[in-house]
Amino acid sequence: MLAMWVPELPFQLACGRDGALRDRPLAFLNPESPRSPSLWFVNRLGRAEGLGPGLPLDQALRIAPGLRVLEPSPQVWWEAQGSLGDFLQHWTPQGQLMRMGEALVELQGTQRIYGPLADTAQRMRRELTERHGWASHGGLSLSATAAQLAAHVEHQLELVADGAEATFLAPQPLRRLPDLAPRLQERFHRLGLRFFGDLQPVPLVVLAELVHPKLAPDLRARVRGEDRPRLPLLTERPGHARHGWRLQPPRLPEEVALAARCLEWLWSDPRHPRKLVLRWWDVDGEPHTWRAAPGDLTTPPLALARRLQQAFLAGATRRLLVREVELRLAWGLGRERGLFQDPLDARLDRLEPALARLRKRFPDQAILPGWVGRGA
Amino acid sequence: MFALGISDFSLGEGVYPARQLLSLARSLGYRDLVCWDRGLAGYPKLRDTLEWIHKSRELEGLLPDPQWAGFRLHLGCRFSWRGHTYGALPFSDAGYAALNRLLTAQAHADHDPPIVLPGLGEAEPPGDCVLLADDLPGLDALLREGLYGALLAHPRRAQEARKALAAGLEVIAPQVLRFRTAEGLEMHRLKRAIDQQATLIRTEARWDASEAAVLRADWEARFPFCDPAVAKATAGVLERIAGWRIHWGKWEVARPFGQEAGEDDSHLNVLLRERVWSGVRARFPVLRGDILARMEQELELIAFKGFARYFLLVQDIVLALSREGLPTRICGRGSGAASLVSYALHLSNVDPVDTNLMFERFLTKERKDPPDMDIDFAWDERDRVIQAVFERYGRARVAMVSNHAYFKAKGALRAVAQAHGRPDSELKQLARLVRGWEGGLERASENPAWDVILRQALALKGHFHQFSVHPGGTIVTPGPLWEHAAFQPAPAKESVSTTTWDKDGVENYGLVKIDLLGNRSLAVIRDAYHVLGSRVPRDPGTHSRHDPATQDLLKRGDSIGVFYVESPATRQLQQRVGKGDFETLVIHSSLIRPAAYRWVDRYVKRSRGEEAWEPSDPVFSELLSESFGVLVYQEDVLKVCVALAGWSHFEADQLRKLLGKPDCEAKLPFFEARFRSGAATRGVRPSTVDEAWDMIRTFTGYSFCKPHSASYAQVSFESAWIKTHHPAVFFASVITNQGGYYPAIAYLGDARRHRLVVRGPDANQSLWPFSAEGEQAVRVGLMQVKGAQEKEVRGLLAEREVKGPFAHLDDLLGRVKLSVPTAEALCAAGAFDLWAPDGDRTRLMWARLGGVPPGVRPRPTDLFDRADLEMETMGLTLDLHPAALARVRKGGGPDRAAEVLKPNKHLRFWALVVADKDVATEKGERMQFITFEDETGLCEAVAFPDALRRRQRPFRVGEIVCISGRATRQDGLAVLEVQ
Repeated sequence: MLAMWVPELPFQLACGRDGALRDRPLAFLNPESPRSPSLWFVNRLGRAEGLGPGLPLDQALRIAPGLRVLEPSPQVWWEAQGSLGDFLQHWTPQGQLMRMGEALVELQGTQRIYGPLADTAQRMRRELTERHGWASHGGLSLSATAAQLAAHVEHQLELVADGAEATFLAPQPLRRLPDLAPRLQERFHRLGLRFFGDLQPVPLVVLAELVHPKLAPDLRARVRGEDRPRLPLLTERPGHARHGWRLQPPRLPEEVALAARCLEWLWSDPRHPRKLVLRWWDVDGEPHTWRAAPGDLTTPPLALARRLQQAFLAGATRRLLVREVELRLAWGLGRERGLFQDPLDARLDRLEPALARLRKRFPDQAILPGWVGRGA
Repeated sequence: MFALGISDFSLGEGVYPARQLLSLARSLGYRDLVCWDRGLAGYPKLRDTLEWIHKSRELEGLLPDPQWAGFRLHLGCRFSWRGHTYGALPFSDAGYAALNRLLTAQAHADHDPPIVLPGLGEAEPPGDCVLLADDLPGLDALLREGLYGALLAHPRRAQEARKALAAGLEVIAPQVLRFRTAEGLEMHRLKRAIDQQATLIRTEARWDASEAAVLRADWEARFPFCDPAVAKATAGVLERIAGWRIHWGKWEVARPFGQEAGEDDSHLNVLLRERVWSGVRARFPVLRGDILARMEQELELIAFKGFARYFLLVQDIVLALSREGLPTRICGRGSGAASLVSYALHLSNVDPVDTNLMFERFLTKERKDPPDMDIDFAWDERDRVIQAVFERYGRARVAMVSNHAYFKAKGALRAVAQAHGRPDSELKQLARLVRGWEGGLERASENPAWDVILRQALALKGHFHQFSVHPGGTIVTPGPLWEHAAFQPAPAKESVSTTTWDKDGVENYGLVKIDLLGNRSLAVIRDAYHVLGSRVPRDPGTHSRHDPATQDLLKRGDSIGVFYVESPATRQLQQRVGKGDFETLVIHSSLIRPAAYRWVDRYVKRSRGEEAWEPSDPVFSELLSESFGVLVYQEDVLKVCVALAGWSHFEADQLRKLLGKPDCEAKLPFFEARFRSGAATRGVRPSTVDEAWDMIRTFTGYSFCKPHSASYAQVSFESAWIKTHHPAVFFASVITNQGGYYPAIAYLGDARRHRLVVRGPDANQSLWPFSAEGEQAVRVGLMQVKGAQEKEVRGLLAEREVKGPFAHLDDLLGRVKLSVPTAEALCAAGAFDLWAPDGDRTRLMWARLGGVPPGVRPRPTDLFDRADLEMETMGLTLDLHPAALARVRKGGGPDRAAEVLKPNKHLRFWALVVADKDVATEKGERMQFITFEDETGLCEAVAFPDALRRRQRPFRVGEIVCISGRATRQDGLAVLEVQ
C-alpha cells in the first residue's frame, strides 16, 4: 500500500502560479470572517515565525512583516485533489483520497506491469513532479497506518518492510494516529500511553474497556501496523456521484434555487438514481440530511427535483442561513466494481447508453431500470 | 366613542409600547382607550404611562396638558373560548374578578399537565362584562349558552354586521388600533416571526395592510358606524364601562394563618403589640426611653395604616417554617430592617435605634404604595421556603410576582438577527460590537446585511419581550387571588404560580409583596457555625462587630470571601480609608456604586483628613456629617430633597423609587427641574444645588437604604469573624457554597496566603463538600471532581462511612463498583494519591483495568502532569500554580505579581485572571479593572482603552496570560497599568 503525501498542496499551487511566493511565509485568509480578517492556513515558514490559524491579520503582519496573505480558492484546491485522483488512477484502480494532498493507493498486483513496488512509487513521485510540478513524499507498507505515517516522515520515499510495521510505528506519538478522538487521546495520555509503542502491547480485553468494544480490534490493528484495509475504487463513475454547492453568500432556504440546480445535476448524467441523499449545512456548521424515498426515485427528473426542493424547504426549519448543499447520488445501473468485474454488471453497463437515449427521448416519463421494474 | 388599543403585551402581535399607543389614540382623536391585549398583563404599564404624562407636567410646574385632559383608560382584554375569539370589558368588581378567574383558569388548564386550583372552576366567559364576539359563529356560540354578547364589527366583514343587525343582534364598532404605518405592519410581522421562532421570510402577517389605524372621523364615516343602531350600541357600551373604576391603590394584605376571622384589625393590633413587647424585652436588656418611644411611634403608625397584619403574616411564615426546621437562618434587609417592630419580631438582625435607622424610609402616613419586607434565606433553602408558603396559604391565595423583561440592545439584536436567519457566529460578533469591542456599532453598520437588522433592533428596543419570575417576590391575598389579579403557572417551576403583572403593577394595585430571597453567605455562615459548634460566641452578631481582630481584617481589605465586601473595589476602599468598624462598613457597602466613583475619592480624602470639608450649605453638615458630605444612602436623597427643595417626604420618595428604574434617564429631567425650582425658591445657592443633584444622579442604577446596608454589614461582620478566627472552616464553607465573586482556585490561593495547607482530594479523607481539617488545613471535597458521577462518588462515601476506610486501592475497587470514567476522574484529581507516595497517578489509573499489562510501560506522572490533570478535573491546582506552569512551559515573564509593590517598575509576568470588571470611560470607550494572581500573590490592574484595543479582546476570568505593564501607586495602593 502506498501513501502519497503532497505537503501543503494549496501553497504549492499558489507557488506554482507565482514563483515569487516561494521561500517566504504564506497564509490564506479565513473566508468565514470577512469583517475581522484572520488567518486560515499558514505554511511552514509562517508557522516557524509564530503564526497560526485564527490569528487576526493585523497581529500576524506585526509578527511577520514579510507575510504574504493569499485569497483562498477552495475550488482550485478541490480540482487539484481531483487531478491527484486522476493521476493515481493511471497506476492503480484501487485507492482512496484522504485529506487535502493525501491519498492511499493499493499497488499490490501491479508488479507484473510496473516492476518492483518501490520503483513504481518512485516513478509515480517523479511523474507527479513532472506533470504537475508538485513535490511529494511516499510511504510504502503493507499497513495503511504505517504507510500514511511513513509518507509524513517526508523522506521522499520511506519503505516500511514487511513485518517491521510495529517497529516503525512504535516511536511515533499517538496524536499522529489519524482520526483518534480527542477524548480517547486524553484518556491514553492519562494512562501514560503517549506513543504507538506504549499502546501496542495492551491486550484487546483491556482496550475494549477503554474504547468502544467494537472499535477496539480495529484500533489495536492500526497501532500495531496490522491493518490491511480493502481500498475502494478511485473512480467515482460506477455508481456514485457527489455534487457540492457552496452558497456565497449564505442564503435563507427560500432563496436557494435548489430545484433548478438539482435538475441540472440529474440531467448531467443519463443514468437513473438508485439512491439520492441531500445534505445541507447551516452557516453555523450544523449538518442536515434528507433521503429520497424509493417511490420518489422512479419519478422523472423534473418531478424529483421539485420533490427535493419541497423536502428541503420543509426540513430547513432552523432560523439560519444555509451555507452549503450537497447531493449524493448512487446511480442505478452501474454498481461499485471490484478489481475483477462482475459479468452481470458488465452486461448492465452495456445497456446504459440505450437507457440514456430513452431518457433523453422521453424526458417526462420514468425510465426504470430492470431491477426497479421487477420490484415494482 | 372609544378605541381598542393593542399594545406590545400582545405577544407576537402588538406593535406599540404603552407611550406610543396612548399617543396614537390621542392623535387620532380618541379620549377613551380600552386596553385590548390578550390577558391583562399590559394594563398597569398603560395606566402608569398615562399617569406619568400628567405627573411630568405637574413636576415642570405647568398646568395639565389640555390635549390629555379627560383622556380615560379602560380595562378590557381578549380571550379565546371554544375556538372563538372574544373580548371582555368588565363594568363591575364582580365582572373584573370573573375575567381574572377565566384567564387564570385557562392558563392553568393549558399547562402540561393541567392544574386544578380549588374553587377556581371551569373557564367560562365572565359575567358582568360586555362580551364582544369577533365573528358571527362566536356570537352564536355565546347566545346558545344563554350569555349575552355583541358583535365587534370589522370593516372587511360588513356583510356579517348587516346580517347581525337584521337578526336584531347588537353590533358595536370601536376602532381597533393595531398599527398605523407600513413600518408598523413590518414590525408586526417581525414580532410574529420572533414569537413563532421562524424566519421573517416565512412569516405571514396576521393583519392586513387595510387594517391600519385611521383618524376617528374617517372611521366613524365608514360602515357600519354610520348605522344609528351601531352608533347607539357603541355609545352604550362606553357608558357602561365608564361607570366602573378598578379599585387601584388600596392595600390588600392577608391576615396571618389562623387569624382570618374578625371584622376589623383591632385584635391584630393588640396581638402585634403583645409580641413586640415581649420581643423588645428579649432584645434589649435595658429598656431605655428612646426605645419605648420609638416602639410606640411605630406601633401607632402601623395601626393607623392597618399594617399590623403584614408584620404578623411575615412572622407567621418565618415561625411556621422554623417549626419544621426551616429556615435555619434569616436576614431581614431592605427598608423593612429599619423597623424596631421587625427587630423585635426577629425578622431583622440590626438594632435600628442603635444604628440610627429611619423608620420613615419604610412607612409614613403619606405613603401610598405599599412597602415590602425583604427576607434572605440560605440559598439552598429558599425554594423549600417558597414551597412551604404555597402549601400553608393555598395555591389560590399565593403567587410569585413575575418580571417583565423588555428588549434591551443585545436581546433585540439577537432576536432580529435570528428572525433574519443570521448565524450564531454573527450574533456573537454583533454582541461584541454592541458591547463596544472591535470598533463598536459604527463598524457593524458598515455591513449592508446588518443595516436593516440594526434598524429594526433599534425600533424593537424597549418593547415587551417575555415573562420571567421575580427572584423572590411573593404575594398572599386575603381571599382568592383572582379577585385582584390574574395569575398563571410559573415557567419551569413546579407547583408555583406567578402573577401576570410585574412588581410595579402589583404594588400600584395595592398587593403587598414579601421578598423571599436566596443568599449564599447565610449558607456559608450556617455551615461554618455547624462545624464550629460551641466555639461560636453566644451573640455572634454583636461579638463580631466589636471584635478588634475582625475589624483589623476588614481594615486591611483582606476580605476575599467575606460577604458583600470581597470585590476588589470594596477591598481597596477599605484599605484606603483604613477603618474596619461597623459604621464605616455600612457606609462603604452602600457607597460602592457604579456611578459614584468620583464621590468615593472625595469621601476617602475627607475621611482621612486630607481634604477639608466645608459644607456648601448648612443643610449638608446637618444631614451628611457621618459620610463627610457625600450622599450615601437612599435616605440621604430623601433628606436632601426635603431640606433643599422643600419637597414632601412622599414626593422625595417618588424620586428615590425612580432612580432604580430602567426608564430613569427619560424621567429624571422632570424631577431635576422641580428640584432646581424648589431649591431656587428657598434661596439655595446654585453651586450647592449642582453639587446635590450631581450626587443624587449617582444613585441611578442601584443604590441602598441604610437599613439594607446595615443588615448586610451585619452578615459581613459575622462572615469576617469566621475568616479571622477560623479561616480553614471559612474557606471550606465559602468554596462549598460556590457562587462567590472569585473562582475556587482564587479562594484557595487566599487560603494559602492565610497560612493554610490545601490538601487535595482523598478517597479516605475527603467528604463531598470542602472541609476543614483542624485549624490549619482545607481538604478539597469530591464535589469538585468533574467527570466523576455524583451517584458513584456518594456510593463510595457511604461505603466508607459504613465499613470504614479503604485499606488499598484494590480494596476500594472491590468494595465500590466505579465506572472507568469515574475512576479515571478521581484518580486524575489525586483522590487515590495516598496509595502512590511517589505521586505516580498513572500506575493507579491502571488498577481499575486490572493492573499494567505485561509489556506495557506507561509514562509516570510528574509534577507538571499532575498540575495539568488537576486543572482538567478540578479547575484548580494543588502543588503548582497555573501561572508557574505556563511560565515553565512557554517561557518569558521573568517577574512576579508581588513585584507590583515596586513603583514605576516595568513588569512582565504570567498570571491567572481571577476577577474582571468592564467599565465605560466618559468618552464611552471600554476599559477594565482586572485582578491577577500568581504564586506570589494578587495584583490589581487596570487596562485602559488603548491597551484593550491592542489586545483586541477583554481579559476574562480563568485565562492564564502573560502580562506586561508598569507598576504604579494610586492613592497608596499598588496598581499595575497593563500595557
